Amino acid sequence: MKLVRDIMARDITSVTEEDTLEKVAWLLTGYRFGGVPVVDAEGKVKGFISEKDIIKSHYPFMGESGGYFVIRSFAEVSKKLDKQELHRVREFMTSPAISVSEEDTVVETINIMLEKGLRILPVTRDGILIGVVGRTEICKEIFRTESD
Amino acid sequence: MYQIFIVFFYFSKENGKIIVEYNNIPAEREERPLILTVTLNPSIDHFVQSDNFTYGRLNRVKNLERQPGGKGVNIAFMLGVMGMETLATGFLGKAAGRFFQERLHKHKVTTNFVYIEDVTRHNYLLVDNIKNQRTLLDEEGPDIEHDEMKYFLETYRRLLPRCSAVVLAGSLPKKVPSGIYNDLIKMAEEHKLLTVLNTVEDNIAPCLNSGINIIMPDLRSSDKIMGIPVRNPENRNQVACSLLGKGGIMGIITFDSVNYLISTAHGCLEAKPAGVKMKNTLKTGDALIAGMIFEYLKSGSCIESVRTGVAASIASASHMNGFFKSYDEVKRHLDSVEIREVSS
Repeated sequence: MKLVRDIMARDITSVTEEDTLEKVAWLLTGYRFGGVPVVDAEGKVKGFISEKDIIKSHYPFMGESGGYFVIRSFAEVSKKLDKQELHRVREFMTSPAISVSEEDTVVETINIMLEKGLRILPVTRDGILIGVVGRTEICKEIFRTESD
Repeated sequence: MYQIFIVFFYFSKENGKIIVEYNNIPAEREERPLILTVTLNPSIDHFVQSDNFTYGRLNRVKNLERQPGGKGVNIAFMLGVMGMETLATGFLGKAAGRFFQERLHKHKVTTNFVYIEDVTRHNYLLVDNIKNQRTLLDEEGPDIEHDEMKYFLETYRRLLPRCSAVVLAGSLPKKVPSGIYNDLIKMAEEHKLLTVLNTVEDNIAPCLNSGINIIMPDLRSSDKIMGIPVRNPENRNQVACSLLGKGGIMGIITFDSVNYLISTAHGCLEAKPAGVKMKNTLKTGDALIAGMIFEYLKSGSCIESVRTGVAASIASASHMNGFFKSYDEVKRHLDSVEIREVSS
């Protein structure tokens, strides 16, 4: 049975909770995935921040209720739009991050991705980031297996 | 904070001579060593084969191969092939990112590059097998902006604690100060890591008083180190010894393509391949370093590191693109390495 370590992308591009959203946005323009893991000084995964989180940080007043934009809290909007460039990752990241171990199976990973609607998962060894696995890796594996 | 060293003295017999070895290996080494390679100026290497190449005329390309390159990247590849856990960092143009990632991941090398606005350079090796000529076109490299350098330093600092060794190799891109390697070595020293430097003399000079452990000047564009020509064997010994500053374990001088003079704390060794036909010496220096680190982290023996390094060099030279395919291939050449003690 294939394990995550057999198919993962061995890339550990990541940010810390103290990094700015501006840095994340800049980073993602050169990166092949739509989000990056958030790690601490030891490389332990603390969360995940995606393009969606960045867009939401800029348009916090845009809700997703039946196609209408709903302003949920004016105070919140005002706070979030203030000094946009200084906002830190920790304010917008998803934490704790859903991650998989390198020892997990590909089938388990597919299940998590589909169940939680996630496109990319950090891969860890003893909690430390060692790679990522995205839908691209899964698709490649599906077709590689079928053609074998 | 005191640095703790495990000190080994032991004897090995080489060509009938007894060689005393001394090694100081940082005690706090992880069981599963992780090597960080730093390539600040990687390149996309194009191997262009065009026989009977003539300047000023239309020439047909017979064969073309593209590889991610740059000294640190090459060393990372080779360490990955030998089964060593390796992490590659440095600067990459955004367009080159995926190309490098996919090739490096294939050899189980983990990547954490900083993606820059400017483009990764391209180098061309023009091979003419009829005229038996090789021409290398080496591009200077991209501009590195202040924020990009800042982000690289943050990344480097974050990666150090989990590593056992750091390899700093290759040229510097534009706008990067020549003292950068010295700064990176000092940061690695704080974590008591094995440090290896392989670059041109201009970048080595500022590092000679730092605690660099293994140092090998890139002599492809100059045969002088500190103003002293190294073609003369007497000068060579003197220069190799002067490369050993505080913390120095090995200083390496390349001569006649794949012959090496290695100065250690207890004398000089000359190492060369015996009776092996070399197809290509393009990446033999990178292979030497990869082989040496691989063995040094395993056994801590200078002499065995040199032997594995030269065997890796021979394995590299037997491939047109300079990349050997497995550690077994390196092992097959161990008996073809001649090592002798030379008076320093």
